[in-house]
Amino acid sequence: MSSLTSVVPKLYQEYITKTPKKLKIIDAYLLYVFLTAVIQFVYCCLVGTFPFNSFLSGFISTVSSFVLGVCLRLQVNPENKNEFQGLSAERGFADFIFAHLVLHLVVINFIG
Amino acid sequence: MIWGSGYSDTATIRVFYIYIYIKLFLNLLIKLYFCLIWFPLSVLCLLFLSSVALSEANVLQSTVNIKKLQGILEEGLKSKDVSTLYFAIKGFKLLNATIPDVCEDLKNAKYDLTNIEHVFYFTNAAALSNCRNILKPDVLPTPTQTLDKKDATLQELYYAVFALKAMGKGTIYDKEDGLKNLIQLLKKDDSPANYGYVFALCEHMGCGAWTSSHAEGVLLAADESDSRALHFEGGLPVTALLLGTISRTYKSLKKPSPLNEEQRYKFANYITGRSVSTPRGAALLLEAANALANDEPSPISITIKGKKYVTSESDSVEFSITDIIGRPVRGLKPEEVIAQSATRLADDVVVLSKQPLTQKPNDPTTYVLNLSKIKAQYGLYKISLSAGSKTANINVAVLGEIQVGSLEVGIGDVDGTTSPKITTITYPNKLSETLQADHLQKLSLKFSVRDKFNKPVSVQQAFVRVAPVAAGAPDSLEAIYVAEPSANTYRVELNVGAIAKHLNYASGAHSLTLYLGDSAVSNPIAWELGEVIFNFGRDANAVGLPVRGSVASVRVPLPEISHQFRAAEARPARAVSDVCACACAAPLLLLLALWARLRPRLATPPPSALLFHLALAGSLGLYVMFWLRLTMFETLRYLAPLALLTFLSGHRLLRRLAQDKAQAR
Repeated sequence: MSSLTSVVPKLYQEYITKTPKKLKIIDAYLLYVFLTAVIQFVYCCLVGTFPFNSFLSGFISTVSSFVLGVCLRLQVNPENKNEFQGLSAERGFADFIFAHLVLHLVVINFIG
Repeated sequence: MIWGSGYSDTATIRVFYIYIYIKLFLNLLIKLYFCLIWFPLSVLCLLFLSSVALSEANVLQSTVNIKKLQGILEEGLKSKDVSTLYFAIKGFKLLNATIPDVCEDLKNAKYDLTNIEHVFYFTNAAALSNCRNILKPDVLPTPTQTLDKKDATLQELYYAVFALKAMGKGTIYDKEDGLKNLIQLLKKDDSPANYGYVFALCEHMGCGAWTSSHAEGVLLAADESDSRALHFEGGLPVTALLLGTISRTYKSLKKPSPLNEEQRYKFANYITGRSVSTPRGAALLLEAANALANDEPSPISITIKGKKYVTSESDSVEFSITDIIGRPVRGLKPEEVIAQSATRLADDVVVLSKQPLTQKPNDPTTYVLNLSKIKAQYGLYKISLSAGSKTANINVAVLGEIQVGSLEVGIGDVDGTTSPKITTITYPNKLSETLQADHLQKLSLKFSVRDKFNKPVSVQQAFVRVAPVAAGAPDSLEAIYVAEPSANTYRVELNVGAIAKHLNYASGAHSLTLYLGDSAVSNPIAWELGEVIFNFGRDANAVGLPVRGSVASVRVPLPEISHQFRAAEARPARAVSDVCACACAAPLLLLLALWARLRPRLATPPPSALLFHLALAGSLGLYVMFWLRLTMFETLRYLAPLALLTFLSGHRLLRRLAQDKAQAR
């Protein structure tokens, strides 16, 4: 337990100092999406899923946004440069935007 | 609100797609299983059934009704139509009847000399009725032109050749070339009808050998119906033409007929099953029937003649054993006609075996079977009658008389605490007094049925009818109860309380009638037993009121079934939804706060970047519109240019950013 109390602040410090700002922005976005999904799920457990399509589309929207965000983060991360040879961060962002447009067209269609 | 904007069926449908696919797959598996296991079984069953049907079809059940056909033909002779006249005359010829003098009628008949069919009918009718002198040379051109025609059909050639033949113009055809031409035409259309025309022309031209080499193949092409009758495509005309030509050709070649026994009986079944009403049909039916009757061995028919039952007065039945046109069977010796057995259908007891029949002296087709041995016990009997090698099973009824001696009417308590009060009546008397029974009592009837020799028997029908006798009671208001047989006696128990609903709860006087009947009983009995006053207690109606409900209401259309969508479930209160929507939106504030803390560098965007951001915002705004009011198609129509703009501006912006970064490095 004592190790945990010592590790967590250290980890946080490392994150604050060593992570590029771009990635922090993306991480903030991911946290936001994650929290929204959690709140939706809690709502569904407490109140019910009645317009099931609406719940599904909202939940799927957050989950897919999270996945796309993680993909973007992977591609933008300078440490992964070797994995994405010839694929610039800008290209990753363009893909992210395109995937979001397609995803939300479907989500809006399904939401009813 | 993030969700809860509305409900549509499509969602549920999509969610259940997978379920439906799995179900379909399972269905497929089950069907496959049935195909593999049950298909061979059903084929076996079918084969078995058809073999049963074959073995039963070895005699004919009926013959061609010559008298009726003759009537139709006589009617046809009065016609003014040349084709009707031709077929009537041909029918008379086939019957070997003398043809009345019809030359004048024929001369005045309606026909068209340019129509080859009319010319054929006219010339052949004249030839058959020996009126050749009415034929003028003006009938010649049409047949000769037809023969010269390049695209003449086989039917036209047939008409032309036989029209010329009827005029005594002999054969115009060169045999070898002619046959070759015919075969060429047959190759174009090898229908059974065309084979029939070629066979007929061959008969005339003398190429019977060709016929005999092709007849068996043509016979195999006959269509089968119900696995008991055979006919050719084209029906009676084609069947008659083919059977006639094949039979005559083989006879002239002195060869045995190519038809096997099964085919013979199946064609005969087809012919005897046809009913005709025109002289044409009658003549064709006679031609086909004659062809089969003149074959060796010809199909035989075993039918019962006259009454199908014996009574104590008349103890014999007559059978008619003939060929298909009602003539005596050739080569059948009277001693070969034997009743092999007679079986009582009720209990499968064989009561007769190997009893010969006697031929009626002046009628060689009628055989008499004396059934005095079995007439003692009435019932239905199956007689297996053989004539030569053929056997037919025929049902014969032995009618007997029944009597019912006495009948006991008892009225007692339902619970049987007191012994019932019994009244005995004898047939055909009625109850001397009117009985009374209330809803706590039951009425029981007991009787026994005996035959003439006072032996107890059972009958097929034994009923008691109860009906109100009051004037004005509807006729339909009656109730019929079955008498249950038990050990030589019949019993009917009527629980007055229970039968009330059958009688509309109408208390009052009701008549009792006993009905006894059987298909083998010559004196069915309807015995009016008398009247009983039923008291149905507190449920009672007054007698004569209309029937309450049930019967009439059963026969009205049921309410229409309309599709019902699943009812929407209760939704949470408005406040709850709103709070939760705010809760879902709350992380957005967190995001903004976090981003604000990170303080990203925000340069003033160049115009192309502004364009990109505007286009992207426009697309997202369009999605909102799609959610709120647009349809998918409208959305896509607006989205296409927006997406193009977003792509181009975004591409430019990002490329410049990448270039800047590369230069900075």
